[in-house]
Amino acid sequence: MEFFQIIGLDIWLVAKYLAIFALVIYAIFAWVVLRQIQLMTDTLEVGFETPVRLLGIFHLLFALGTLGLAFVIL
Amino acid sequence: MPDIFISDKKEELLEKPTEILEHPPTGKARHKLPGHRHNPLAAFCYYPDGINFETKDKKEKVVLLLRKHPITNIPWIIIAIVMLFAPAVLGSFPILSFLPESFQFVAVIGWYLITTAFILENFLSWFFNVNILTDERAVDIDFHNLIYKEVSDTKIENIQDVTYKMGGVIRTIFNYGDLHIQTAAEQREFDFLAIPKPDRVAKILQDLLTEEEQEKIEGRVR
Repeated sequence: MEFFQIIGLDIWLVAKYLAIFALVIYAIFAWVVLRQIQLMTDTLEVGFETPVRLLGIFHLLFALGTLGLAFVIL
Repeated sequence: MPDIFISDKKEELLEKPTEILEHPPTGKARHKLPGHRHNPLAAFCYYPDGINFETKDKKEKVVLLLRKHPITNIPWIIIAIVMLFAPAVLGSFPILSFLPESFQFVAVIGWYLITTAFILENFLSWFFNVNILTDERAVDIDFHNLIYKEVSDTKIENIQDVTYKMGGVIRTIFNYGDLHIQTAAEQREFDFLAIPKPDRVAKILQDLLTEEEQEKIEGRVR
């Protein structure tokens, strides 16, 4: 705490950027999951591809939504 | 005198898969087969409809689609339920109280994000790790993690030995176990793990092998 005060930084601003950085990494992970779902459905088709893809898209949108929310409220 | 025992025709059909293999069912006949399911989440599906995989030949017929028994999902489902309710339960304890309210809110949303990923990963891992038996090959499709895929197959005629194991209370109650296939091919062993009805799978595999040998003798080459 004192260190941040000495160098004139707001600790919550640092925490905000760390949280946003973590959420950006997570959004990339969510995109990789979606890409993997695409590869999996290309490898095996069993007639359940659309719901599985929707799950992946929902997960990516959830990650992007949380990132956006963190930008706004933090 | 009334019949004491009337055999179930469906069970009879599954006991004689060779007849089915010689004359593969088409159209509505296929729907009457025992073990034939329309549920895409089924762990044991005999002559499934609309199955396609990367290396499938046009003339190749999928005889059996197998996944791990659904009961094997219970551990991660319990963990997921605990994760879903954890913020509500831990809300009574001031663990995050040192954070401003906005940070607390984002932390809880982040927790649900991780929970969603956990559920998605486990479901995808169960859903896409399948074993397929066709009239020509045994195929094992494995997705070890997000970025590693392994698809191995062996021709039915290369199969030398089929062993199945069932042990333990849970496996006996829910009738699932492991099937080990030894082959003469480069990849020596195939493991179908925690599959439902391993005895029936072994029987179907033996019949496929017999059918393949018959084809060789009769000179029917595909």
